[in-house]
Amino acid sequence: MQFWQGCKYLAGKIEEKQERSASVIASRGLRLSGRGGEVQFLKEQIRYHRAMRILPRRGYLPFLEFVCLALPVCLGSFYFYIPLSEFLCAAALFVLEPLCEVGELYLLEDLFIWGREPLRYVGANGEFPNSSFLSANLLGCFFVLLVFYWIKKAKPLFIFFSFMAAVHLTACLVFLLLPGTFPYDVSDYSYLYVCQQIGTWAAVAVLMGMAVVPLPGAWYGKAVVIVAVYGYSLLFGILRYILFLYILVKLSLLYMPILFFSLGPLVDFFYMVGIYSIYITHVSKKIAGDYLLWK
Amino acid sequence: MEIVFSMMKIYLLVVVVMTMTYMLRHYYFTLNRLFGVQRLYYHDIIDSKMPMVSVLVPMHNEEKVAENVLERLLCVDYPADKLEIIPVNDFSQDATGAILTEYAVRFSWIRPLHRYEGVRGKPAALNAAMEKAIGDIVIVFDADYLPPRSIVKDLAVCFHDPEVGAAMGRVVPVNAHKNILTRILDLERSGGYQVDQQARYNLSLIPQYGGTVGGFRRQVVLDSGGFRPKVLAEDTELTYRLLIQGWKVVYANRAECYEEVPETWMARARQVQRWSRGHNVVMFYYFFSVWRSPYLSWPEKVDGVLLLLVYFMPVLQLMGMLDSLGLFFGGEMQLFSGAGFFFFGSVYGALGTFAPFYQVGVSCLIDGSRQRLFFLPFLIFTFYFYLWYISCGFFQAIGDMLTSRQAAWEKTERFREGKARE
Repeated sequence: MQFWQGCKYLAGKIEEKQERSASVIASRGLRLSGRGGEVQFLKEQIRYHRAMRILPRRGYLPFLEFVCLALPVCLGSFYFYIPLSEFLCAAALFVLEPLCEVGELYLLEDLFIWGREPLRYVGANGEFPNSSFLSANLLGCFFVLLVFYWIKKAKPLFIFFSFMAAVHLTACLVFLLLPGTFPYDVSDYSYLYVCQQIGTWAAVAVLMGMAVVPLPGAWYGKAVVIVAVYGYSLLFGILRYILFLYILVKLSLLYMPILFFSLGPLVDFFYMVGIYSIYITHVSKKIAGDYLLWK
Repeated sequence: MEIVFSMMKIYLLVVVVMTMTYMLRHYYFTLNRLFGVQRLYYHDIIDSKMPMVSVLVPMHNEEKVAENVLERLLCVDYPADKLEIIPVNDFSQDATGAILTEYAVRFSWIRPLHRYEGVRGKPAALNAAMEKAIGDIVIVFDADYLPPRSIVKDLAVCFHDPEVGAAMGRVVPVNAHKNILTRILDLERSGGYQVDQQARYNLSLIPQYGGTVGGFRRQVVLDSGGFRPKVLAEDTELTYRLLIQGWKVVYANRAECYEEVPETWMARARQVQRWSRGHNVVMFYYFFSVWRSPYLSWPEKVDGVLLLLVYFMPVLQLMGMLDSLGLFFGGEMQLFSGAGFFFFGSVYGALGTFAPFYQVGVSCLIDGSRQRLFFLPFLIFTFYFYLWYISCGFFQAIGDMLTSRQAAWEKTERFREGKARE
């Protein structure tokens, strides 16, 4: 008796599922009769295993999306590098001028793309470290390296900070042993930063474009992601520029190598991947129940 | 001095080009896995004449996990008369030996091998076990693995194809939920198997035999001298040995097996350093042999070389960082050096050293995962970590090559407590 009840229950469940599938298929305007309809119907019943499933090809659409969404942002960064650099400088001067003496910061320009107008950047002379400041930094580096060596923890942040301590230690030794040979001032650094930042803005658009265009989803969602990454990069690039200039002008040129090597493009890519992870999670959720999508 | 700086700039350019090559290679793999025709494995073959299989499980102080793997192996659906299980007690000082003996008393097809003489380590243990084994096909599991019921059949079936020399299944972490490291490793594994291995199999390139959840023809390996006890990456070595002899290595994405990934950074550091050391020794052995092999097509040769260089890339990058530092203090901090650092430091690093972020993202999408994708940005943490430990492994490999010393096999620490999760 119980067996038959079980069978009836299962049959009811199967019927219920078939009806639900049929209604999904009907709602999508698909035919239930004919071979195509049967295949679609079966797809509702037998899901593709994750080991082999793929998405249908979208022909030239991903390429078109890349050309229309990512490439203009990338090329725009290079085409509009003058207003971009001017904006960067204006923001930096707006924040830093009240904190600095008159004439301490000034605008400079230099070649970026041959045959075009020069790039703008903020110039300053910067502060060379005195011996007591150098000694304190040197001891600090030794301390960090020794502590991390003594702790013997293979934590990634320990290793990252050890790398940075090694870079800073090198800078301290150069300033201590070969004073006067340090070949840069704040202006050189500022020029490199602006050049690199324009490159970063162009690159994040291309990389993000490459990453999102193959994914399923509407073009406007992808456009939002690319714009979001670009916007964040713009904002972050400006804030970082201001902070770096402040450190170099007000504290010391000694920090130039560590700023150059530590808080550079790796940080840009951290938030880029972060925004991508939010988008792909959204895509994954959206297509989770869409069994007709997979092949 | 000008010449030195020129050389340093050229080196930086080489690193950038190499990095971009890997990035494009992974992008191509990602697109292939997402949209390409998936090469079928041999799952659909149903045959009553299955080959005799010997399952080898090397164990060194594995009391925490030994029972789990044996219990799972007892449940596999392979014909009992065609299966033998040989757990190898390799110099264990804990209760591993007693556990194996107890199982051998209860189940006749479990035939443990206790080793307390000769060289310790997985390659030597496998050699000794292969001498004892009677199966035509050997399937290897590490002791922390939890094989599902059908795995032996899934892996053994491909050996009906006379061209196949080795097969590899997919590894899925069972303890991914433990902490941030295990979640990162879960993402790495997903990108590495779901996309990387499958795409290489699709494109008839070089899927890698990974040393566990994989099988090979016993006689072929014995005829070619068995495993080299001095090589820590015996799996990579076998892959290349088979390929240059004309055998094929196949990948079974559906043959999933569950493993325990390291739960502490120190354990991971030791593991990755050992892999790097072993892999780079294999690179020194086989770099030129791959080019010369008459059995490999040009795409296979190119992919084979790129695969051999995988553990050399972080070393190149570390050198690139030092190079960049030299250029910086030498007054050559121009756009060139800045851009160089920018490209190789971020493109390959922030996007993951073993699998770039888009590859991991797509693999999770195919897997149907959602929440774990939020951990994608944390791949950045592994950049400097791998850079350091893989480079250490590389320099140890150079030491191994120069001195012909015997590398001590360092076992990965186990973390399982009680029974494994069902």
